[in-house]
This record gives sequence, C-alpha cells and structure tokens, in this order.
Amino acid sequence: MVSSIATRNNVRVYGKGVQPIMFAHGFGCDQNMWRFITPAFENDYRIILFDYVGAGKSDVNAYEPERYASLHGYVQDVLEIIDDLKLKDVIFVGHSVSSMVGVLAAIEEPSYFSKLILVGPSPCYINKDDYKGGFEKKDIEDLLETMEKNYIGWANFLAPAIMSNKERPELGEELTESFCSTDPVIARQFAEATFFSDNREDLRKIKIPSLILQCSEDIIAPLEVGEYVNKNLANSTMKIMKATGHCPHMSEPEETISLMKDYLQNEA
Amino acid sequence: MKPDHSYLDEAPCIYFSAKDDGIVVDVNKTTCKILGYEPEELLGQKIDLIFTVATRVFQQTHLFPLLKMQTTVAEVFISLLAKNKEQVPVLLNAERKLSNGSAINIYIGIVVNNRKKFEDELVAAKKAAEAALNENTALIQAKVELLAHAEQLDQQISVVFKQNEELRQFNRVVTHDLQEPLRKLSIFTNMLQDGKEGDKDQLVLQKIKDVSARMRSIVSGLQQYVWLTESKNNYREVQLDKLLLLVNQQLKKTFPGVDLDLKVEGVIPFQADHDQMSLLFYQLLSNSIRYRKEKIKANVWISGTTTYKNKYVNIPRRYQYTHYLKIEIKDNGAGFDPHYKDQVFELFKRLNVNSGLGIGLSLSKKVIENHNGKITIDSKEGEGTKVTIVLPLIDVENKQTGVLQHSSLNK
Repeated sequence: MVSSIATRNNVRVYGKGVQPIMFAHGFGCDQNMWRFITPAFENDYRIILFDYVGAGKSDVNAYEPERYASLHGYVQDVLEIIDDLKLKDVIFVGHSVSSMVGVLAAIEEPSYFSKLILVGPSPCYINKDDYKGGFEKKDIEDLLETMEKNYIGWANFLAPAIMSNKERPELGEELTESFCSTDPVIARQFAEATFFSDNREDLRKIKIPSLILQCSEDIIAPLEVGEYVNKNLANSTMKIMKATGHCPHMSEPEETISLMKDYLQNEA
Repeated sequence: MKPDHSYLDEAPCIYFSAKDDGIVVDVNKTTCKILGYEPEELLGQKIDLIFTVATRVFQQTHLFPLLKMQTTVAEVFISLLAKNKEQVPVLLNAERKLSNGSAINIYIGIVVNNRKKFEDELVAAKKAAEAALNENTALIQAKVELLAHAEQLDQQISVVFKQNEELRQFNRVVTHDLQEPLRKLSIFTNMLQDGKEGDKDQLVLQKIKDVSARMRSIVSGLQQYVWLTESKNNYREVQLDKLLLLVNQQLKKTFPGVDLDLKVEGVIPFQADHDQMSLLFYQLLSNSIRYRKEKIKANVWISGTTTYKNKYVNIPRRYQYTHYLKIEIKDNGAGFDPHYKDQVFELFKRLNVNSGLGIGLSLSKKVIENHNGKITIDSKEGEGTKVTIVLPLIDVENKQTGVLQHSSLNK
C-alpha cells in the first residue's frame, strides 16, 4: 500500500542496489531535474526521488503556508519520507537550497544520513557584514517581483483554486504535462524561504562527511560561498567543476556523475 | 558561421540566442537598439550582461531547467538590463534547438512597458489589500488571541495525556507495588502471631523491617514525584558544567569510591529550573554508575546541539518552528534490551530487581515534561545507553511565562 507521505511527496523508490541514495530538487523545479543523473546509480543503489509539497506532482492540498514559511517545513518533508521508508544511513544529494535542507535534516536526525552531496550550496544568499552571499536584499526583492509578475501571467492555469478544482480535472491534466510546474503562490513563498534563509551557524553542527560540488561562474552560489561552506563544514571535500551556472546536474551530467562516483568510492 | 536572419534584424521584437554556457550567439538589431548596445558588444559575450540579477537567478532556477527538459518555455516575464542600467520589462518565449550536437537557446520577446505599468498597479493593489488586511487591528488582535489559545490548547492536551498516563501508573503502584509488600507484611506478622517460628523470630522481624523500608522508599519516591508534578519552574540560566560539579559531589556521597569519567561538549547555557535539572542529571548519572560494566570505569559523554522543531505537538496542521536544545548523554555501561525503552520510564518499573527503586527515569521524564521537552532512551545490551533530551530554548525575557523563543527564520 502506498503511504500518505509517499503520495503527498510523489515519492519514487527504485534501483537494484541496497544503499539508499536520496535526490532532493532545488527551488524552481521538481524531481525530473535528476533524470540525467539517476540512470548512472540505478544498478548499485536504491534511488529515492520525491517532490517537495507544492512542487511537481506532490499533493498541493497538503501545502501549509505556516509549515513552509521557512526551510524547516521542507526539512520535515525529507525526515518524514526517510522515516516512512524506514531508512538509515542515506546518501543525501541536495541541489541548491536542498543542500541546506539536507544539512538541517542531518542535524535533526544524524542517524538517517551517512553522507551529504551538496550541489551548489549556500548557507546565506544575502551579503551580511563581512560575509559575501552574492546578493543584496534589493536583488532578492527584484526576484520576488519577477516571480510575482510571472504568476500574473500563469494565473490562468496555475492558480491554486483551479488546481484543486475537482469538477474540472482536465486542468490538472494540463499541469501534469508540464515539467517543473509549481503553484506560483507556493513558488513565491519557497523563494522567500530560500533566499532569506541564514543557516551559517548550522554548518558547524554537521559531523558526517560531505561533498561540495561547486560550479564555476555560479551567480546563485558563487565560489566564495562554496569556500565558506567548505571551511565551516567539518569533513567536507570541495570539487570545483568545469560546469558553469547553477545546475551542473543538468548542464554537465557526466562531470557531475563522475565526481559523485569518485567521492562515494573513495569515502567508502 | 553566422545564421541568416536578415528578416529578423529589423523585426519589431526582441531576439537573441545563446549557448548553454550563456555565450550570446546571435542578437538582432532591434534588441541592440532597445538596450543601447552595438551588436559587437554583445556577440560572444555572456548573456548575463543583458540580464538583471533577478533575471539571472530566474534563468538558473526556472528558464534553463525548463528549456533543458521540455525544450520550450512560453509567456515568461523577465527584465533585461540596458547599457545605461535601466530595466526593460520583456515577455519572453524561448526554445531550445540542437544542431551539430550543441544546443542553442533561442529567445523571442516583446517589450511590455505598458503592460508592466498595469501589472505594477495590479501588484500594488494586491499588496495594498493584503496590507489593509494585515493592519486590521481587530483581526490582528483576534489572530494573536487565536495563536495564544492554540499554544495553550496544545500544551493542555499534552498535560491531559500526561495526567491520564500518570493516573494509570499510580493505579498500578497502588494495586501492585504497594499491595505486594503489604501482603508480605501480613504474612510475616501472621507468622509471628502463630508463634511457631521459634528461633526464627529475629529473621522474620528483619524481613518486616526490610519490607517496610521498601514501602517507605516507594512512598517517598511517590512524594518526590508528586512534588515535581506540582512544583512551578523557577527558570534561571543553567550552565551545565557548573551544575555537573555539584551533581558530581552528590554522586561521590552516594557511590563512595566509585569514579566517573565525564566529558561535556557543546551544551550552551539554557534557561531551566536549576534544582530540577540537578535532579535529572543526578538520576541519569546514577544510572550510568549503577549499571556500569564490571571492572570498567564508567564513562559518560554529554554533548549538545541546537536544533529546530515544530512547537505544536498535538494540534495538527499548526506549525511554528522554534529553537530547541538537544542534549545526548551516552555511557559505556551494560545497556539493556531496547525492547524495554518505553517501559523504563514508568514508575517503579525495574529491569534489574536487585538495584535501584525504579523511579529515577520516571523523575527524569517528569523534569523534562515540566520543561515542555522530550526524553528518549536508546540502548543495546553490552553496548551502553544513550539518553536524548530535547528542550525548547526559552527567551530570557519570557522565562516567567515559558513562552518559546521564536526562530529567527520564521519571518
């Protein structure tokens, strides 16, 4: 029987291996973004994919603004999925904001995780005192405005009231056709939870080994930020990638896979 | 090789294309004119040059992933950045084409200055409506009261659960733990009355003394438990290392000649009732000493970390994440069958009949519950025991009321 959490988070579990490896998507997309990576791990691992509540094909009706007002609601999603599947020692692969979700989850339940693989992590996006996160508050406000403007455009077919309209299921159909579809109101709140978060203090609480995959020329998580994470996260290894941008698992899947595999073999 | 796009050059639309790494491959004259660039200034450059910071983030988090996966994106609002740093609002369609194994992302758009003004007004109106709603004082008042009630209700539900559980345990104590010695007393006194024991009188009297002593300690244990139930927390700052110095002195009196190796790290000072915390650590460390492995010095490691938890434990669909302090107390003792990890917290439940009264962990649980926290125990026979305590971190200003400290992340 499929559990309520499995349905809520559109959880998919497959693969021929035993060692669980969980892939957590970042802000703006859903589990589909891992599809260039997962085939390389199918034979040796047990793969866990999911969508955060509000993203992809998760149950939008389970969205609680209070819960997802900060990253902790997303942390709870991850912990509940692992608990539901009764997993331990999971290798957690988090992209972007999910890196910090993984860090917070590992502080909460250390026994659930054996290693963290952080793709483009940033503990704090906004510049603060001596810390260079890469953004001014104004930049983030502009981003929120862009999101807001986009949901005026999308509202015709993406408004939450319509999405949960049981009398017009064809509207839901249309959504399932589109990848990375996110409810715009939720996307905006996710953007706020992500870009206003500050988890610099939490990095020091992690003891399990971690790999940082740092892209060159990443506007969202610049090199300096990667170095900050590397310095403050005990037992972390940083690899600077040839890939540019913020989504190496999509733009340079081969490089991403080989760095992940090297790390997992050497750390084992 | 430059693609032929002469018809596109003058077309009244934004047109540019770029590779995955963001290098501009092509741009039409209209776009250059609108942004105030010469084509040569853009060709071969990074597309970021004409993207605002927000657009760059949106490109990385939305546009690129969508193009990569479904090759087409429609009706997206972004802002382009002109040479004079002015923002140009654009409604964009994009498509990804593969040619000779490399991908080109093609963007077509129209400038939507007027539409932007209209949308700005829409957004402003929406925000004004939201602000009006938020500033409605009656509503704010009602919301504050509702939150306070929810928090109170949540705590009251916990209290009711606890009281039911306590009632069940008290009932067991009265019907079993106290009945048993009473029954023994009655047997022993009958024996004396019958006068058939002869020279064993002294032995029987000794047994009566032992049994009454056990009854007395059960009753005094219960009294301590009831005292904890009724006592009000007197919050003040607890510095664990200092508190442990005092506890250690007590332990030396209780277990003369027994050495305890204690290591503490990472426990920040926290607000709690000092006496209750002393009692708690005294009980936990007593257990580590009492159930140490034979011929091995008792080692205890105490470590702390701050974490976040939802303040609401009973009411569903209510969330407020607040700071908690998690303390782990690990020993190298004999451990026990994890099957009993819930039972050990019950009043007078002893796994080892020969030692202790079986109230230490009940008292510990009571202390933690008095602080709205949680205590769990993990153990394995032969591999030591780990007690985990989670305590809400209380604001210094609010320590009298016990209001929880709000997470800085909950804006």
